[in-house]
Order: sequence, then C-alpha cells, then structure tokens
Amino acid sequence: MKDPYEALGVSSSATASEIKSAFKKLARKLHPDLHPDDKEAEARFKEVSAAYDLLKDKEKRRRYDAGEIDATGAERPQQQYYRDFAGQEPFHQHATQDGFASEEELEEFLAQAFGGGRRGGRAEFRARGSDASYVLPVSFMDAAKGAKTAITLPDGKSLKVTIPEGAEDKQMLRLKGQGMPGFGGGESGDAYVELKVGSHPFFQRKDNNIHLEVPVTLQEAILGGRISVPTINGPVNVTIPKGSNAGTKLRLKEKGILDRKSKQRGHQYISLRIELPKEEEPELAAFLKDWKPKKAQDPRKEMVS
Amino acid sequence: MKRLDEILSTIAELSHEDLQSWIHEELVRPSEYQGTFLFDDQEYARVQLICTLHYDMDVETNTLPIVMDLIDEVHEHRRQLRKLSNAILAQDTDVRTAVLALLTEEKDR
Repeated sequence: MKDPYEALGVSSSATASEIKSAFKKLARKLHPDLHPDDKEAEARFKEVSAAYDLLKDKEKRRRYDAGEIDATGAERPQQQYYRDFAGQEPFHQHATQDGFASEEELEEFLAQAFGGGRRGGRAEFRARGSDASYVLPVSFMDAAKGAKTAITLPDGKSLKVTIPEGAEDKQMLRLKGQGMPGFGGGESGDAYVELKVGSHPFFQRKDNNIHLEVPVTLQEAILGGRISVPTINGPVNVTIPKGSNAGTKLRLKEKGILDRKSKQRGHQYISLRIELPKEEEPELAAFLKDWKPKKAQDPRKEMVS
Repeated sequence: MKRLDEILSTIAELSHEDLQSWIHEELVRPSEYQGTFLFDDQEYARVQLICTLHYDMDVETNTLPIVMDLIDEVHEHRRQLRKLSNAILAQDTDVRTAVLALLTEEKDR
C-alpha cells in the first residue's frame, strides 16, 4: 500500500480541507461509477479512497503520522460499485447460452469499434500535482539586497529559492513545477513560498525607504562635519550642517530599497540624535557654568505658561 | 439484503435523516418489509455512491437527483450499447466486418 499522502498528491502538512479537495479532484476523475468503462481508474480509485479514509479521520491520521499504524490498516473491504449492477442486463448469467457473445468478445469488439483498448476510449488518466506552500524566514538584508537560498523540504529534498532584491514581508514567490509530482505524466504542481522578513537592529523599512537614527557628538552637532553613515549597500559619508539640532532629518537620495516595479530606488532618511559624552568632562562642565548665551532661550516656553 | 439500521451502522457519515430523505425522493428504492426498509446489493451500492458524492465530493442535496439521473442515463446507454454490440456480434463475419469498417471510418474522419 502506497503512502497515503503520495496517493492523494498532498504534502504531509496538508490541512484537512486540502486533503478533501485533493480527494474530490481525483474522485471526479477516477470514481468507477463516474467512469464505468475505465478499468485502470478503478485500481487507482481504490488506492486514493483508502488513502482518503485514513487521512480524513483525524485520529487515524495522527496514529499514522506517529507510526502507530501503517497505511494498510485503511484498506476498505471490497467495495461494490453501483456500476457493477446498473450496467448489466437483467438475467445476464443466461446471456451467453442464448447465442450472445462472451464478455471478452464484447470487450474486444467495443475496443475495435470505438478505440482506446479496454479503457473504453478514454485518454489515459493524467493529473497535475498539487501546489505546495512553504513559509521562508528571510533576514532584513537578504530581502533588501536580494539573495539566493534553499528550503529543505520534509522529504529531505532542497528547493532553491531566489529572493528578489527589494522583497517584501508576506510576499509570495511562485516556483513553477516545484510542488507535488503529477500523476500519469501530468505536470507537477507549483510551490508557493511566503517570505517572512525579519527586522534589523538599526534600519527600519517603510515601503522602499529606509529610516535610521544616527547618534552624533555634541561637537558634530554644533560645529558640523563629515560623518560615516551605514546604508544597506555599505557606509557613505554625510555632511552634518553646522548647528544641527537633535531630531534633524537628512535625506540620502536613492540610498533606499529598489522598487521591483518602477526600478526606482527609495531614499534613506536619517534622524540625528545628540549623544553627550559618557565620561565626566569637567572642562565642558566648567565652561558651561560660565557660559552666557548671546540670546537666552527657554525651550519649554510653549509647554509651561 | 441489509436492513436500514445495518446500513446506518456500516457507513459512519450517513445520517438517518439523509437516508430517509433519499428514500423519500426515490434516489434509492429499498423494499419495505415489516415496517423497515431492506436494501439489496444494488441499492446498497447505490447508497454508497450517493454517500461518496454527497459527503466526500460535496455534491449538494439539490444537485444529487440530477447527478444520479445522469449516472443512470450513462448506465442505460452502456447497457444499450452492449446489447447492440451483442446483436452485431451474433451476425455473420462479413456483416461484422462491414459494421466495424463503418464504425472505424467514422472515428478516423
């Protein structure tokens, strides 16, 4: 007895509704009562319905997955199909004695007359394999810059995945022909890979723009200067204007993420944060103590009235 | 022969209510005997088929009679085709050959 998942062409992680829909599709093509003259379909249907009997029962499926029972446990007792009655002549058992042809002769005649051999002229059964879906965790940088990686499937095979530059969280990649194998030479299904993009310690992504908070020293803020700032494609030099306050925003043009459709790159926005010296600076403290601003200012004027 | 309650206990998904309504709509025709229904092998096979169609393949209650009518029609055609073929096979060889020639010519056209 074949592996029931394989018989239905679903993955071992398939949901109950995926299993039912796989069975429905196959039953439509293979059920002996719907295809009374297709001898090959009958054998396949037996396999498919036994697999479905096992997998549709939650408890049986659990026990099969846990290795407690094997697939043979699900084989149904010989099922009688309605066609075995409905297609027959009444008093069929007397027929051959009344000058009627034997079943073999009749089959041969039908085959000759209508072609296709004993399968009654139907094309051989082929079906496309089911689609398979996977979730792939992707690092922030791999999504931003694109990467090649591989998923290891439950059966040990690995599936190569190319993450396009600028890939987004929840983006679905379709890998044609990488799903479940088809039946009777039918093509394989597709694999759908959903990307789960992780976060980054510094960079934040909004659409195709990158936001980054950059700490600067007191001197850099007051005197200005050139500082090195990371971008997704490596550090760049940025000029901080003289007298930049905390929260000042600077735009680094086209240093963001490539838009897949327009091929335009987003920007990187940096926001300055002033970081005071960590160690004690007695000179600075002494200077500030005696320092008289040219123009006294009350930064909380708006808040406290 | 199987009694109605035997059928219900053999097919797990089948509800008494559904089976009653199928009998009522004459989708299945068991014989009545001493206040219960008896199903011969043919009717039992038919119940199994309806169960697969309805419970596993989601053919809805309203659509079931149409599907069953079409299946019956297919079987009737098969039966007639076999009867016709038998009649042809009972003829002399030259008649059989002539019929086969016409049939295959039709097919290739």
